[in-house]
Amino acid sequence: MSPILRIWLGFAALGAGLIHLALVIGAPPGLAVAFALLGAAEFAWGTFCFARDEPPLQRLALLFVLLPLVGWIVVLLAASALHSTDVTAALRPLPLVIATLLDTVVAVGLALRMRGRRRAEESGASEPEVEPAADEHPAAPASLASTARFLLGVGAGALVIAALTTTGLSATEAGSFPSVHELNLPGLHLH
Amino acid sequence: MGSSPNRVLGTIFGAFFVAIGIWGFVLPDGGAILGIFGVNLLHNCAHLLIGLILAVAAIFGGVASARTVNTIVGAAYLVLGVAGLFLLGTPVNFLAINAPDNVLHFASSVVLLAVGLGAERPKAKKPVTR
Repeated sequence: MSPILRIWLGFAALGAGLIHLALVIGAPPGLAVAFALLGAAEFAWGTFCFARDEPPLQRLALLFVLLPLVGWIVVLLAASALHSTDVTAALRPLPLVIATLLDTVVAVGLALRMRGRRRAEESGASEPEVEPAADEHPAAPASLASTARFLLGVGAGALVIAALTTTGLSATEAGSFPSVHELNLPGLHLH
Repeated sequence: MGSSPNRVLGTIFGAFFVAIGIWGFVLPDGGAILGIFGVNLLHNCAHLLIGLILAVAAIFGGVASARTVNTIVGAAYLVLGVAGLFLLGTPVNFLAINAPDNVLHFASSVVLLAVGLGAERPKAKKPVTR
């Protein structure tokens, strides 16, 4: 898998993780624990994506990232059936939609990767070598062009994910706090 | 140096953090960087220190030191980005963190971690076969 694609998958998982962690604030206890576990798992998986040649635990991760999609729809339906306003208020649509979108990106990326590998195994062909780019060992120095391409790719992915995550966070309780100037915190002197 | 993603990124981020650290010091009392990002004296000092560490490791150290520092600073920012969500509006928010700060910390952390962990990784040693 191309290093840039692998890093983008990691970004998407980290973005979804941050939104799920932000949803912990103001959620009822049961839901808060679920969001915290989900966010922490997405964080761990995203970080491992950066550090490995292949995204880790691909089959499990594929199921896991689809879990929130099914989970929050089921919880929303159950809450509306039980007229539980606490739960429906905690399930804010915009952050959940964006986190689900990011999880779906991970799911599609993983599914394509697994299918490509299966096809390669079936045809008996070895996988094409990834270009020896900037993620390789320092003993094999990358060219300036490949370094620039790698950093631009990482930067572009980070910008897209940051834009989506920011939009999601702005609709959570964590993102709706007033600016630091309006908080008037004791002992806080701004410069 | 130009062909090492970790050294290039460390230099860029180091210069960026030093610049915003200095910018924070020249802001009028109660000011925010770009009118958005909340800072205070401690926050400015942290920006300066982190920027210097990143830049020194990238410029004067080798690939390994730039990679290590990028990863450590990225991990620290990730922790701060997540902790910041829970610090907003509390009296222990001693770095004057606000919501835009959290986004910036998170964005910085993922880029530093992605390059620190994902670029120029040492190859695993193959077992010796006899």
